[in-house]
Amino acid sequence: MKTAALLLVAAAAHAGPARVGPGVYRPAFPASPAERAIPVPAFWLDREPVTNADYLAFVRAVPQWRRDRVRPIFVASDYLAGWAAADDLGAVSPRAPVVRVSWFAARAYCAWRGGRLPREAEWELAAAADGHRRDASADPAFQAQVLAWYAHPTRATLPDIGGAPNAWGIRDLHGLVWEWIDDFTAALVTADSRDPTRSQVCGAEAAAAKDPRAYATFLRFAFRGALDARDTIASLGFRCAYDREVSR
Amino acid sequence: MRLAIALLAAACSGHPAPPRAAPAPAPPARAPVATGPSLYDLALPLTRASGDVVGLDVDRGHPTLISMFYGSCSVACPVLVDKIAGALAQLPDADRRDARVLLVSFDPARDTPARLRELANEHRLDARWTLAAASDGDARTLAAVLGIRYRAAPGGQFFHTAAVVALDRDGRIVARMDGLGDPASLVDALQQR
Repeated sequence: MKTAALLLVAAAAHAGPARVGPGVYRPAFPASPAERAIPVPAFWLDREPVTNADYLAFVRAVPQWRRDRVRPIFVASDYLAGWAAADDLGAVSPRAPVVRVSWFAARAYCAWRGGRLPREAEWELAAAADGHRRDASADPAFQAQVLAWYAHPTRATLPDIGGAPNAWGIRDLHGLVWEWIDDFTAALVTADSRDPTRSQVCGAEAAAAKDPRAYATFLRFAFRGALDARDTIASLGFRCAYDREVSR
Repeated sequence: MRLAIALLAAACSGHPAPPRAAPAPAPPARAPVATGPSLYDLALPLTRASGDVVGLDVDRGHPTLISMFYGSCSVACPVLVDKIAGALAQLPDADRRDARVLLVSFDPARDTPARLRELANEHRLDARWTLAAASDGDARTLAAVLGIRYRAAPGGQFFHTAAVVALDRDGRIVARMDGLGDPASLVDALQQR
């Protein structure tokens, strides 16, 4: 096991996306009884969140995503507001994760790279790993670590990427920024949401959950459930997923 | 943590609609002013019942009600069609003739042109109605723009929130109805001149 972990760390030294899965995602809040275990075919995921430098290259190549040219239906008014100008990062670190990007913008970036945004099941599968286990989600210590980050206010200046890789060789899934997923509009949508007299989800439900994974996961779900596709939030970035191996 | 608590509160509001999915405040009756971006800026190909591929702006020039559905839905979707038909029926003659309806399926695999034609016949929908299907990715985009949330569930069902959005002649959102409630705001929006 230790050897495998060392090999994974070594693999992280090259920049291509990491292979994740196949695996089974067991949601803490299954949307229906048939969705307690969701098989996830193997996919590839960026080892790091998309950085300001990466995104700058994108808007230079595809100018309709510059903040002074983008169509307002795709972004809120503070899209890329941290940058000095439409094609100038200014004081923002090129190696920090790009934030204040909408779901539309994140999707466009990933399509440009030949990929797509990860789906919820994929992101959660990758994010359940700690430094040496692919599924650490039942470990209270791992959960406490994730929760400790959620309890911090977002720092005014985002640090650069570069956290320790997890067992898949992927960095910074927790601890830097929240991340867009492709199917965020599916969050919190259950059979009950067809019935307007019932709430979709409630804190009491989460508090009553016996599963130790539930609380940190619930916060992510609540966050996703509150998002709008045009939102450009200072603590929300993204990374891309791929259906086949790609090189950068 | 304050953020998290605010999120919990938002998630607990008891609404089937997403907490922040109300981009347009209810417009003043009879004179909706749309200043937002046009939905017709989206390049989003739709395959309609005739088999033609059209753009989202297929009804450009007409006040339009737009929503999403899936054909094999047996409960909420017929109610949705009834609600929209009911809203149209409340309009004065000229407005009723001018209004259009665009229903986009998020189930392209099963809602083929043939199936869409069947549905139109089943519900006796006239030429003002367009039934169409979008690819999975495009359906996700349109749902995001309309503030409709859905997920594909095992067994071919979709769990989804219902919303009907009224567009002006240029594709700007002028009103919306979340859930299957009272379509009064839509009726008002369709009478813009």
